[in-house]
Amino acid sequence: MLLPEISRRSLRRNIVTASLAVCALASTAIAGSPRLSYLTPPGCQRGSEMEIAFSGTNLTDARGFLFDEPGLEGTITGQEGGKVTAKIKAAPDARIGEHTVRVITNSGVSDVRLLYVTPFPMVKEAPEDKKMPPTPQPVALGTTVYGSTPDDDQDRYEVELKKGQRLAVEVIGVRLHTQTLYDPYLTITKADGQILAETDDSAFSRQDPVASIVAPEDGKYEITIRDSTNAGPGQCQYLLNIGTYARPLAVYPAGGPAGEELTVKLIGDAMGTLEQKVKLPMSPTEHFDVAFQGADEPTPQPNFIRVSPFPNVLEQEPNGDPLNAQKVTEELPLALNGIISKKSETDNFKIKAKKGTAYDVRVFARALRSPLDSVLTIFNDKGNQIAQNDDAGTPDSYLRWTAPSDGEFVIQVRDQLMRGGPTFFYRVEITPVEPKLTAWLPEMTINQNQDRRAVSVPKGNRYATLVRIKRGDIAGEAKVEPADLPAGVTATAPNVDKAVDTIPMVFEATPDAAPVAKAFTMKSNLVEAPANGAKVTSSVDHIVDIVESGNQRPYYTIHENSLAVAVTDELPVKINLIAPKAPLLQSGSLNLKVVAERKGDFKGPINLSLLYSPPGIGNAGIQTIKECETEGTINISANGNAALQKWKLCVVGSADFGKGPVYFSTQLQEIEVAAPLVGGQIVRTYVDQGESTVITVKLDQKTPFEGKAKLQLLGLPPSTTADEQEITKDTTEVKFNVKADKAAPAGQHKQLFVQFSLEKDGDTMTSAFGQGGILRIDKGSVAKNDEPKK
Amino acid sequence: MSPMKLPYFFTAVLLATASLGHAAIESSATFEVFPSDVNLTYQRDKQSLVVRITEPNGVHRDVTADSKFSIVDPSKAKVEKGIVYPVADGDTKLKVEYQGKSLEVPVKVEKATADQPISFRLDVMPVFMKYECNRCHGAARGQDGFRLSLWGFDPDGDHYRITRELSGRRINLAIPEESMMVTKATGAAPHTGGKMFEKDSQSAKTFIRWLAAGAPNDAPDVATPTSLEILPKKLVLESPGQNFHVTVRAHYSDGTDRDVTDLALFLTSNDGAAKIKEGVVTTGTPGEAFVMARYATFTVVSQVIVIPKGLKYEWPKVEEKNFIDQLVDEKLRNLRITPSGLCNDETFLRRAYIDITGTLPTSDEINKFLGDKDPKKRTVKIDELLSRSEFVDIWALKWSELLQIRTEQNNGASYKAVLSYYTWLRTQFEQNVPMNEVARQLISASGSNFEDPAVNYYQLETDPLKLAENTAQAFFGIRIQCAQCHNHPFDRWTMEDYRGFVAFFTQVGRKIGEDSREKIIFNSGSGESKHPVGDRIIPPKFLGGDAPDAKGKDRRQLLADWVAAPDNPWFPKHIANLVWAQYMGRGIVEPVDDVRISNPPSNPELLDELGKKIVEYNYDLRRIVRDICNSRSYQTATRPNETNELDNSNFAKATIRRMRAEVLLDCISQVTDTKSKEKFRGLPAGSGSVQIADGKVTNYFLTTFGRRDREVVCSREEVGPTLSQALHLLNGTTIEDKIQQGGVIQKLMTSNRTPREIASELYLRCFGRFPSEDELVKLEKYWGVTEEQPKAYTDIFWALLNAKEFMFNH
Repeated sequence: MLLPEISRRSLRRNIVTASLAVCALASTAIAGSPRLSYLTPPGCQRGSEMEIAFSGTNLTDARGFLFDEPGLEGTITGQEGGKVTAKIKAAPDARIGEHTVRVITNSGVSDVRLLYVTPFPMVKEAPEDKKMPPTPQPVALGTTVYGSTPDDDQDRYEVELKKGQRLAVEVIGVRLHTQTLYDPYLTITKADGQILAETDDSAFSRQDPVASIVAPEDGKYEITIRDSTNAGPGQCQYLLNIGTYARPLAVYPAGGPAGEELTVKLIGDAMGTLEQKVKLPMSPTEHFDVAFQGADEPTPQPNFIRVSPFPNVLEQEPNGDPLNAQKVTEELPLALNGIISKKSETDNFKIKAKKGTAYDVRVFARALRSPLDSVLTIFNDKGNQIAQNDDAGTPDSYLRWTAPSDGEFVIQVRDQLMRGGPTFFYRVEITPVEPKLTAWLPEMTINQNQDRRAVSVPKGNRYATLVRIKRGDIAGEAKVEPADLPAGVTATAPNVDKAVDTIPMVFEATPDAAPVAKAFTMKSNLVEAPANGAKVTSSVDHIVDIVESGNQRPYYTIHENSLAVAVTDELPVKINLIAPKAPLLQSGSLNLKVVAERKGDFKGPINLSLLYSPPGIGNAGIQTIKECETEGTINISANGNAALQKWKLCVVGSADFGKGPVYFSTQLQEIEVAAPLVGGQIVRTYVDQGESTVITVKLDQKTPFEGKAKLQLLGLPPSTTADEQEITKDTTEVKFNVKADKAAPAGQHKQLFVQFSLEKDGDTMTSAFGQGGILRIDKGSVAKNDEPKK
Repeated sequence: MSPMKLPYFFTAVLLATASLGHAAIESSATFEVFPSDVNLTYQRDKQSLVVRITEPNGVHRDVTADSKFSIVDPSKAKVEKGIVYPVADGDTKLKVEYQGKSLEVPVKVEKATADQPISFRLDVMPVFMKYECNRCHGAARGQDGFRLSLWGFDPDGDHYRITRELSGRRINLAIPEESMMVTKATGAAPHTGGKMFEKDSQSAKTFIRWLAAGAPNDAPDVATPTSLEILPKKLVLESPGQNFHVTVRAHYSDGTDRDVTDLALFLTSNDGAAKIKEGVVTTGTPGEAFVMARYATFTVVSQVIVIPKGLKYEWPKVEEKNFIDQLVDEKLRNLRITPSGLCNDETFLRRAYIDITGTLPTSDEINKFLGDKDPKKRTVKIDELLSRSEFVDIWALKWSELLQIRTEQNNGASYKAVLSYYTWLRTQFEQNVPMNEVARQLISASGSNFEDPAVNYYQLETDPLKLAENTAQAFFGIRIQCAQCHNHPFDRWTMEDYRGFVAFFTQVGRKIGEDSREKIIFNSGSGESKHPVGDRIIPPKFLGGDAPDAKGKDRRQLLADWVAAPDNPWFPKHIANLVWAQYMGRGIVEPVDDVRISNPPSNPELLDELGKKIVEYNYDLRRIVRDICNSRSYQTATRPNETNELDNSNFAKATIRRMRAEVLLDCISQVTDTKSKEKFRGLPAGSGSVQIADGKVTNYFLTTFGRRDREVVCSREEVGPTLSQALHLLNGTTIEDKIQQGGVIQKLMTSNRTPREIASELYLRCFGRFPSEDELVKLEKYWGVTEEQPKAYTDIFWALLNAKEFMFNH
């Protein structure tokens, strides 16, 4: 299950900054699909420019970047080894905090990585003199330092503070992507070594430590960062925001009604609780930044809250037990807000609910970075527990709850370990169940979450990807339509059959499409509107793993509500799927023919694979169009229960044009699954070793066919052969002559079956029947094998 | 006798001197009869008696056969050859006389005319135990086609297999004597195990009587044994060939008791010193033995001290610095052993440094100590060492081993979790948190293994059975593993006890945190422990204690509070024993993690007192260490005298011990000035090997010298000398490289010292003492040629580091 995530803004605009002239950097060979691993440094000061190296593979033909928001631009300046360097410019009004970036190359779109826009000048960690005892590096307040602490390295920084001045330090480390988890540890000490703050993890930023102190006296203060296990991985970079900014860890209430002005408390800063008014946006959002405005320096990582279309209820003590719950007068839907401020505390709210109405009761605590590990309990008005949940895939609790009667019920929130504290805030949203459709591009490569999770369409060619939808509280056939595609790019896809959640989608770019990269979205709809007239909402929720831990388990992920598409360079090959003339029979197989149009001098092999196998249909895996050849086949098969319907399939090709695989695809092609024409049963019999017999098959003619079909008896034991038989639509019984060699193994052989094949317009359709036919092979009798000795 | 004499000596003993007053013939001899009361129920009951004289030199004599027994009211009971039999219901007295001394024992007779119905559990099964039928046939698949439950853990199953399995084969109710269970046991039919007893023996009669009664199973309310006693509990005998018989009595849940001397299985811990057969102890060579009697699920022990016959021994005047010395001496006096004298200051200093801090004294520290004229300087030094952070390292290391702190792929223990666990543990010792609080926190831990590192106790091991076993071993030194599948053969633990203890660990909830390495432990409130025989739910029950009311409570919290309570029967003594073993080289119970009835403490009074002190000191480790290190017993020389040469278990001389692997490596680094160059995985450079948090960190030197990998609950290392150890020191890279890396020789040669001073400095560093004149003279010829000097000093340094005197704490 996924962890609670910071929801991401949509990719609002395509920002392709590198000019096409940069293509000169690319070699004549077309680079393979680009992968981006990490950025050095992974940050940039607002209103300035920073030279950043992008490391990964297949990045040499980079031509630009795709950022999540306007205000960021990049210009490629060079390349070296696997790295591409670029000047990244953040506008003076760029949003402070976490951003996403992809590298766009001439052949594809890279992984998403994170880039932090900081309000502070960026300073690099000073090189260490191994011979000298390390001394702390002096830095000014209001600085973002970048460096790394591999192995047991410790980096020390020194700042000067006046008595009473706040020092806030936050580390961005684990989020910067390393293969093994980087887990920074932060210490703030006085010059005399007295520890003022020592922190490893926090609910606010997980394994990335964060701390704020108030200087007890004028003087120098030291900040030390190291890996918490003295074993930092190789690429363990960090950003260290050092300043006097406010560093709250909690916002209360953690959300409010859209369009209203909300007074929030900012809790957890060394200076104590801060308060400010926030004007909430007009439309609901899961992620609305809240930063304290009163300080001289802006907070480099703002807190965030939810904006909802329903009212807020704030907790009022005493509400410590179900029978003494706080009475909520407002009608549902609404949001309950509170803080489990001390150990063993429970908060109880008495709400009114209508009999038979289903509600989603969802706690938002860890999702908003509260330390609370919630347990949600619902009691009836007598104080009897009627529903409870601890975790629902994340530490936050969730219940789908239907009120058993009209009346009052108590919603209780507590910590799972009965902990509590000033930052243990929560928000419980109680909403009626609403049907919704969510779409995203699923993982394509096992254990490589980000491989091919964006669309890169070669000019004059096609690209295919899987699209997956989730039907929330709704069922039925759906259709998914991309919106805001670049000019010259079109997409085709079948409807999402009611029995499946995944479809292949083929994108095609015209030969003259401009080489742009941008964000696009998808709109999902039911083909037939729900009978009850319910409004179905549609969204994109594309979850990408930024950091994984422990056997590819997602650790830090982001939710994107748009997708990335780029038009890439022309390819010297295009593939087409030839429409099969024959249907795919149940319990049968069919060869799909793929034809390649090679251009120029490209002669290399082309790998083919079926992008999507509908239920009951299988395929033989990756096939190849051999070097210099132009035809290949993909064999698909249907099991006996495959649904009798039409599916649209496509074949994905990949070829190496010099620097790794590039992907392209055929058009979508309709395949029909049909019932077998003939069935039947094998009559069981026996044969002695070295003898012959006749196996009779009684046929069951299901659908009349034209011409002659071929029957083969298969699944025979070794050293046993049978002849082939021909049948017409009128044949009712076939007799196979079976010959068992002397070496044929004695015993019962139960895997016999009959293969039916019929030519139709050049395609062969096959099916199998009579599975489990039995032939017994006996050792010859003594009389026959051993003549009595005279 | 010292005023510290403990009540243990007097338990269940009736002192004749008390009732006879001044009438004793030999004024200082005591006259005792065991048991001190006789209770007879049913007509077949009997009670054997033991009459003991304690001679003025402390030696005991069995005078039962020579004593005169008479019943005051012969209508109630009769006595023959020291055995009392019932006659009629009522109370009377038994008079015992020996050489003018006399004593009366109360006798109570009930149901004298009734015959107790024969019982499978109380009469038949003890025969299986006595002749170990249920050991051989107790194998998992039985023996020669017949299976009994091992040590009789499943009476119903045993009854079924005898009477119902292969119906008619094993029993013959028409002619009981012909039953296979009789003919096999008496040798009348071929039996792989041989003839166990005679056809007319009491055991055979028991079998036949049971068969004649129809081979009944017991009624559900049949009395169960509740305790067992062996009398006398302590004997001082002369070697060789002195006999002394004991009596064994079982007590039952219905309030009755029974003489089970005939039915008990006898064992001895030291065949050479004392043998025991059919209840008769026979002495061998001088020494000490524990003789044991086993009946039902109980094993009881009597201590036998064997001293040379006719020894003229006089206890010398020895210094007793505190209660420890008094209790050690009391035992030594009984054994006729004289302790060795005090060690010299150099030896004391080196010993205390290694034991308390795992380091060696520097030459400056040695010089300062030797020059100190303060008579209390040893005490002052002990206090100083106790305040050093290295003391914390040693104890954190020891407990890291007991708690098995190590990374493990399978149980998801990440290095981060392991490091925070170790750091938490170390902090407990650093802040001198009482040991019972540490145990309480560990056992009751809930929370995230990153934020509340004590919960790693429940993450490094997740199997409730293993958790129960590990807890018993780490916190009580008791191994209950055997009782998982059968009643413990050499201890008191039954399967019921085992499952009851396991029940404390069946409600541990676990979930994964946001970081997959993070594990959250909580009280899940559900999950039960079941008895393998019959699948009964066994409620939580403290080991050797009560079953608490656990309904709706966190069971681990109940257990934690019981462990941490001052009246816990195991924890304080176990901690005392652990600490004692660390400083004395040997536990009072040895091995320290094998506390069982059949492995009794060598000095129970000392162990009891140390346990009491631990509680009195509020479980302050440093205070008990201070007591031990300040005792004469700790500061005794290792050199033996003729009385204590052969004794290793009574602390009459100090034990010579090789430094443990981590300490040895750190000491080599220390004397070669290479501490800052050591780098262990997961620790900052310069950390000592005693600070290694993760048992999985490998290092060739440490592995070779027997460092524990923490796979099992045990803090003892395998220190036995091996060829690889010797070769590694001689030819391996550690010593050679460190001498080069540290540059000690170069520093000394440029420090304006004479060759003799350089040699002395090397001796001080390595051995903690100055070289003797003899040694200096021998060494002088090596540095005689100036050009050869660096190499000569290097060679001397190398030789010192390879010497036994360096490697051993003495």
